[in-house]
Amino acid sequence: MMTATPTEERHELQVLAGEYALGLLDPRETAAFERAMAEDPGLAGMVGRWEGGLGELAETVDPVAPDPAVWRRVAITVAQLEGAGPLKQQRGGRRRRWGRWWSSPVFWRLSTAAAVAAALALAAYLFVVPTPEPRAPDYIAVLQAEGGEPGWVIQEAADGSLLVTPLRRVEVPEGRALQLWTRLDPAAGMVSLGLVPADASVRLPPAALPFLADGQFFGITLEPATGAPAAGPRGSVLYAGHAVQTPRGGGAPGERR
Amino acid sequence: ENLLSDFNTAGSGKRAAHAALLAACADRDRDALRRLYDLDAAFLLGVALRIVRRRPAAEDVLHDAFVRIWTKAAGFDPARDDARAWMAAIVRRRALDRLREEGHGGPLDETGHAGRPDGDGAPDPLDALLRLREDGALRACLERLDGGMRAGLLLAYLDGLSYGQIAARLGVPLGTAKTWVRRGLLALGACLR
Repeated sequence: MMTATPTEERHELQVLAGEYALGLLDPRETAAFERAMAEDPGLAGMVGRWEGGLGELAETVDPVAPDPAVWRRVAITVAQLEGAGPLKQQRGGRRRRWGRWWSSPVFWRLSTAAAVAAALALAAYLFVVPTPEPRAPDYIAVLQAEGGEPGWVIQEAADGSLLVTPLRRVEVPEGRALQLWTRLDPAAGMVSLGLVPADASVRLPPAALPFLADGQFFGITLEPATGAPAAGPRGSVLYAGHAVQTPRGGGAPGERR
Repeated sequence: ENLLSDFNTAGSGKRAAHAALLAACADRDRDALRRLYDLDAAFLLGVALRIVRRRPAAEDVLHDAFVRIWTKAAGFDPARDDARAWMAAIVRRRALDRLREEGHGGPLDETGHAGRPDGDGAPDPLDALLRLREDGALRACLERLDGGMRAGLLLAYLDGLSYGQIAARLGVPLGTAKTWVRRGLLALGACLR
């Protein structure tokens, strides 16, 4: 046959769309088809109909439960896409400043000395501040200033939300704001958890932070009023600390013998 | 009759829930992504594992696919797309790309990927036919196809085999495998319409 009728041509396109949907086209054909699809929504519609029509076949495959680590990776990638821009930028020089600070022996000497003060402040905080959940939090982090004094407490509530509470009043210069950061993955950069008020506690919804891990890093930096202009912290570090797991199921203090 | 309509209603309710979660993902609701993951990650990992055959690679595919689901959620149209099929398509495409990146699955690869063409313990693709809803159009249409066409389509969809691998698996020349699959698509398209 020398020329195809419109019907035959349509059938040919449908078969081609089916081959594309199945993944049977070779790389060159695939690229050509994708170019055509970008210009012709009708072609994309054909592919969509194949995917929908064949989709029931996928339901015949036995499900396999993924390792919990997969969700953590998804959450990290999505958090980085959303909150902090491209990973590449985060891995720039800014990170080194945090790294330097954390590896500095002076900091660790100060913070070891300050740990006692932090523990005392934390104990005071836990007894003085009425908390909505009687249950002890799973994770808690005390953020300390470079000089060692505790400045913030971050605790996980039973519903997975994070309560971020300043322990002292922090003076924030006009036109600046405090921004909370965490590092989800030691190999990756900082992820912003948003701006936090200097003088009031704030509750972050569970979705703000996909998970908490022992030793997870948190920090607060001084940034422009609208937050860090680029991916990752830009301003100076005011407070930093690591999450620690608290013992579970200890019961109310009164019950202890 | 009643049971069937209940089943169908439950199914469409579930679909509506999926569609609402995808719409929430398009609005950057990370809770919705988590709920979608809780609902469908095991289903989608099964699909990926069937194609790439190795657990670590399949979990990589699952990760990449969920990131794509997140970034492409605005492209999901509940009036046009079925949510699970839409996500399965993203997983399949990523899984096939992964095979290609690893250097097999291409058209010249009839023998290159040891184990894949002859099944290597993969479930018989025809089992899938028996797992499809008895009253569904897809099952009826696939049952109407010639055996070779049906097997070719199932091997391509479920196992992600290339034309060359399908030919090797079915023991026919490459040209025959292509003809079977294309004719199968033509007949299936006409039957499903």
